Amino acid sequence: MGLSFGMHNFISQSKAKRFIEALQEERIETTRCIKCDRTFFPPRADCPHCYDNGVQWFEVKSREGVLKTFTTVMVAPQEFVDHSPYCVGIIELPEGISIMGWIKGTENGLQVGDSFKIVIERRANGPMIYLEKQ
Amino acid sequence: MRVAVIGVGQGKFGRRDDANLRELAFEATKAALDDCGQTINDVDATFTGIASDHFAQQLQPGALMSDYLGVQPGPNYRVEAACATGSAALRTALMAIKSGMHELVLVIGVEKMCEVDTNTAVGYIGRGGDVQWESPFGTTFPGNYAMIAQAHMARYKTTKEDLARVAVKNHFYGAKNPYAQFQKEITLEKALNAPMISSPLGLFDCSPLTDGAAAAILTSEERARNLTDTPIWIDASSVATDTMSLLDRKTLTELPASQEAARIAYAQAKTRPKDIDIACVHDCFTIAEIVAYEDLGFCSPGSGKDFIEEAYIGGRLPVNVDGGLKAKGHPLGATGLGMLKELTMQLRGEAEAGRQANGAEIGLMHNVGGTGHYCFMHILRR
Repeated sequence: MGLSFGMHNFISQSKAKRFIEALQEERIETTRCIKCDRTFFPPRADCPHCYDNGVQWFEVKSREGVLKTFTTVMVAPQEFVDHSPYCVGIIELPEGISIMGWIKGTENGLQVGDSFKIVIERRANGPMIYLEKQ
Repeated sequence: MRVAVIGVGQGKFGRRDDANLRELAFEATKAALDDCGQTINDVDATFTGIASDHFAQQLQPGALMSDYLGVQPGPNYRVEAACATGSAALRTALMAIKSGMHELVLVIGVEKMCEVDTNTAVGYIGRGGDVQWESPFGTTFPGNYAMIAQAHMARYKTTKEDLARVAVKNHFYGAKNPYAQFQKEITLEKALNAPMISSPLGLFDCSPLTDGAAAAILTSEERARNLTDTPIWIDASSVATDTMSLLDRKTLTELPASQEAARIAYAQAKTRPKDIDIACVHDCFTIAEIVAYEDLGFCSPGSGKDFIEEAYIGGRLPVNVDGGLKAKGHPLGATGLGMLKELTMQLRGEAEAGRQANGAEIGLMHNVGGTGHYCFMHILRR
């Protein structure tokens, strides 16, 4: 068993586990296809366009983006009942990548389009992504 | 070759503490066979739509259907496409008849969602998203559609009151449908003051967890002419797929799979949105009905909120006058076939008093799987 991703991990094995290992070192890494140059986020180990074996990892430098949408989950899955309510958001980085995380604080006053930054929390069992309003 | 729907049936949708998966399926199958005067021995092949083995705690539920419905030793194919499972089974059955491999078929859709508790069920449905990259954040299906709603509200000034108006409409018609889970009208105030499920979606913005089954008997044109005076013809069947994860979508205010399925279906049936007389659209959440109006071309992008009043009987195009998923209920595998039963009754002129659309000739059914991972559409004509 490798590192656990997020608040509750369901998938323990993946060719794309480097994403989680990098996150634990506070870097965001993802893949692009060597042949067609398409970028994948979340990372994919395989390109569904080229069916070629080559993807390469690269670091996403941005830490700030724009809030695309959000919701506060009141009725949660069994594994998350003790955490609810929690606010899930998606922000878009300048690279065109959309990233999901838990928004720090409540949704009060939040608006689509607000500026956010990514805060990676390193825990003993693995990394968690938070989004914080700027 | 044309294919006809000659029989339809369903049992009561709702929390069915009195019946299990197999018994629900039997109710609908018997009703569909009785509707067209056929017996299970007349059926060449069965197509079973069940979305998840988890809810009913039964693996290989297709085999269970073969057994309990008396299909054996005939063939039975189990089909799955999330919340569009029923329509996927319908389309598969249609392909089987068109291929000439089978001639008279049973399509059965069923789901027993209330065998497990609510949080467990919410968790299972949530895993219809990307389990590797989204589920670790506790995403749910209300949560995913809530994020679509939030984006739609920000871009098009759709309001929570607009969402509530969809719920009011669908409960208005659910109250007239004896098969509906909720047969009670609600007020705008009640919808707006309901507990939040996943903001901005409250309790009345969400379809419920439902036990239920619906079934249909399909056959070739030649056979249909001999068996019934009221065949309902399937003029179009389309499907389109899209990304699993919302993170991969360029836009969150529309479902590209719906737009593509609609384009194909309208072309096949040689119809335009304005030719449609009655529609069942996939209102798993109130926002989904508003987005469907736009994706299916009933109105322009962003103006879905202005179409709600037009979706009553007497308006431009009655939509979900069976109560929709919202009030009739949403037993995942059965939902598409529930739509087929509703439109068949409407096109025959046999819907209950107070919710029969006048002189409907062309009906459209729109069944979405996941958050637009799939969209299946069918256009029916009497």
